[in-house]
Amino acid sequence: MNIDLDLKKVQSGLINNLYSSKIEDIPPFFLMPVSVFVYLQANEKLVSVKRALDFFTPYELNKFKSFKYFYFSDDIKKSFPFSQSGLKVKSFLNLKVSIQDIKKKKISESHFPGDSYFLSQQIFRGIAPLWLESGSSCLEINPFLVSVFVNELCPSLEEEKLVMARERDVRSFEKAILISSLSIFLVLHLGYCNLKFLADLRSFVFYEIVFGKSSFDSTSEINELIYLSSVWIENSEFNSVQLSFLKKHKKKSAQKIISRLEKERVITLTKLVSSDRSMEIQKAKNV
Amino acid sequence: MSNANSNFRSLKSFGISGILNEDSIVFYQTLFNSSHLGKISDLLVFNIKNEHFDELRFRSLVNRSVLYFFHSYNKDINSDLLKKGSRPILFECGIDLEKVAIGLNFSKASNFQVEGILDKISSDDLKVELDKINKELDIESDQTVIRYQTQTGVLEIIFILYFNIQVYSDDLKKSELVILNDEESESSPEPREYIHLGDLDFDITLTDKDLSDPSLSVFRVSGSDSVESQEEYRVVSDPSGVEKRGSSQWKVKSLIKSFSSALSDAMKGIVNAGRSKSKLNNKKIEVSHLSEGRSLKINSTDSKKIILDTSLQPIEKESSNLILHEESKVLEKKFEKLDSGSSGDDFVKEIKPGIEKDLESEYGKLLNEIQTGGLEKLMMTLKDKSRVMIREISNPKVEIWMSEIRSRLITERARLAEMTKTLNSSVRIKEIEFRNKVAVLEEEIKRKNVQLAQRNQVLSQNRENLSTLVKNIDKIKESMKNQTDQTNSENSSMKNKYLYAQKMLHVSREENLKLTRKLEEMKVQLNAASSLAQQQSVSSNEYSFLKDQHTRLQRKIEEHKKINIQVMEQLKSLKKEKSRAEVNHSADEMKKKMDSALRMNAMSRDQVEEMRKRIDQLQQKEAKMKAEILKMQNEIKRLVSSEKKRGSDQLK
Repeated sequence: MNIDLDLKKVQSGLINNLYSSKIEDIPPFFLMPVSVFVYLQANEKLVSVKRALDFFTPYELNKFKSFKYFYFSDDIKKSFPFSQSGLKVKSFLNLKVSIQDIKKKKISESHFPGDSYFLSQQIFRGIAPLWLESGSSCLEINPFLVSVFVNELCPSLEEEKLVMARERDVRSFEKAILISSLSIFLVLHLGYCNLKFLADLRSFVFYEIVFGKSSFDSTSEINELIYLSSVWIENSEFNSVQLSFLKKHKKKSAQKIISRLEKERVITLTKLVSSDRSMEIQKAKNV
Repeated sequence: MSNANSNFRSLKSFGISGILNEDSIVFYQTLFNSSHLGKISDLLVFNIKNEHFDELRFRSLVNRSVLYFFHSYNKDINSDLLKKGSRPILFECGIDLEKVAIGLNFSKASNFQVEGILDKISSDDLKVELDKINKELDIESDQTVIRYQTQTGVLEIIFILYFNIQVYSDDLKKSELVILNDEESESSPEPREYIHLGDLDFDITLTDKDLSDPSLSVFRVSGSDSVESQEEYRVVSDPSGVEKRGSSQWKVKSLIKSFSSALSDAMKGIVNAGRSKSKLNNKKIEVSHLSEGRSLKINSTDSKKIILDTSLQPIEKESSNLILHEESKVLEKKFEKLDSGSSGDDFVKEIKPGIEKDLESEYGKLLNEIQTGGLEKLMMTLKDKSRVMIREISNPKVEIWMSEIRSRLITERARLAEMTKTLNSSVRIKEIEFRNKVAVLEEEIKRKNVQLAQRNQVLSQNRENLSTLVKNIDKIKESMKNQTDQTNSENSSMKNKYLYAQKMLHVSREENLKLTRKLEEMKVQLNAASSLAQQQSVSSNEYSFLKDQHTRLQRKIEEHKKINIQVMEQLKSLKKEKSRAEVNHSADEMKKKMDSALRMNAMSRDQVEEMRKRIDQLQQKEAKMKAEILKMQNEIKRLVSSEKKRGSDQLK
């Protein structure tokens, strides 16, 4: 599953099939998940104004105000599961449960708010299915869609530095976005469930890459994951990469992620089998 | 290196897996705060199953180490996280056959000095509170390993508790400090399994599976004595509890059905006995087999034993035949439907007509009924009545009849036993079949996944091949087009060339003809030139003759000049003499002679000049003729070469 970053023109006849959004509703400095188009009525053409992973400054939004709507390519559908899970994980990390909720048995009494291992389990159950969104039997992930997930999860990066990074070099800007997002995604698999920490880590990695640092040491787990993410992005060139990529690098953090994902996969398979079995037993009863 | 330390797989890598064996399991969790440490230690303790495990020491070590190090080194964990270099603590707990290890990995705080820490731990003079804490924790553990990387400031402290410390007590090195450079650090070896603490379900992990509450159990279906096939199902009053426990509700229902059918058969016999009064009169009803204690056991040699806590009350003496008859009628009505082959559920409905059709509720109610002892009472009354009948009736016919009943009951019992056997076997077979199916399905799923992956790979390869083929085809098409164009052009060019060649042939032939004509002309000219050359040879003879004449004349001129000089000298001399004596006449004569000589000289000079002119003219003519000869020769050569070339071209 690859995302087309460079859609520059779309046939105007397909306008009804595109997703649209009012320009007023677009927040500034929010990274776009797909290419953004505007419709030129005079020429009856859809023209791209922003590439994927790019953002609008307030000045640019004001400039495009007259067009009223932005249109997004069909690829945006692929990003929906990722953005939804990002919001879900964010809600988990911002979870504030009151005693009334516990009394009403909305939350189990054994799991109090801030319970880190419970949170990590729930978050992991939320993000593990994203590895299968591509539709293939192998566990693979698209780093571009991961950036959509992290964009929803974490607050936006500093505005001035975003603009500076984009003006400095577009390619390194995109690479920095992808590596930082992928690092956060992998770090979540190991239970680093603190939103402030994740936001700080993301901005740290982003700025380090944009402003020159090309290599990370692999002493700590986090640095290992950042290193793996950078290697991943360098090799894949924004395309999907399979989980087997992590197996090649004999890092402790990679081993942990792989074992956790494979266990989760076995659990989902056994659940499927058990549900089939229970269906059979029910059929036997009815007979 | 001590024996304990020799078991360490790798000291130069971060992570506790290097401290543990290959069969180890490592539990890990990232800690942003020190809350829920109790749950973490609970989860870990329930997963450590070892006789020699010291739970108290372990829990105290976990709690104290995390609390002390967390609050000492990471006070402001949530602010300026990365600038200060502080990060959450990575907590790891690993277990193998010999030991359990607790590891804490974090970035070093500024006030923590690594070098010399072992000395500080061992000595009593400790100034820094932190070092005191370290010492306390070191005392808690059997062994401590501290790893520190100088460049990045990553610090890891591992506390080890041995299950059987006595084995290692002599050789154990208490503390070990490993300072690593970036180049020295190795990749951490793999344990058997990494488990995140979040993946352990707290509720399921901490529930005690061995609890047995007899108050809850009405039917306990126990397995055989053998360990392998022992299965135990606990049935609770709530049918949903049955499902939770994993026992199949339908199995118990089927057993109850069999029980109800056995009961119905037994009651049929008694009802039939009640019908014939004469049979009942004066006959002893021996229902001794029904009154074996308070339990009706349906024994089976299979693994499943069904133990029903029921009681069969003997039939009271007081009841007369009429009472028995009435009771038998009542029972007959109740079991009429059983004759028609109705299920145990209908039996339940007959007992309690208000029960809903839902099988589960009927089942529950049936169990309640059984629990409250309704059936027991029935059986007891029947028992009593049978005893009374035995006492009262002593008719041999009755005895025979009762023996028949007995035999029937025995047969029924045997049949029931067989049915239970078959049931059990079928249940087992089905279970085995289900398990096999599950295994087969799982294998198939795995195979299919592998096949899918392979097919996807093949598809991707095929797609790539197709794309390359398409590209090649396009290239070939283009090349074909070019070739066709080329061929067309070549054909046209060939045609044009052919026509041109033909034209050239014609032209060359014409030129050949012309050239042959020219040759002939040239030959004629050559002949003419050769004749001229002969003439030139004549002129050359004249030239030589003229030369000779010229030389002669020049000699004559020189002689005449000499003569003139002599004459002039004579004249002079004569003049001198005349001057002396009168010599005019001789002088005039001499003058005349001189004039004639001069005229002769002039004449000869003129002749010489003319001869010279002629010679020059002849020389020029000769040069011209030579040039013409050369031209002719060159033209002849060219014609010959061109003829040769044309001949070769024509051959080609």
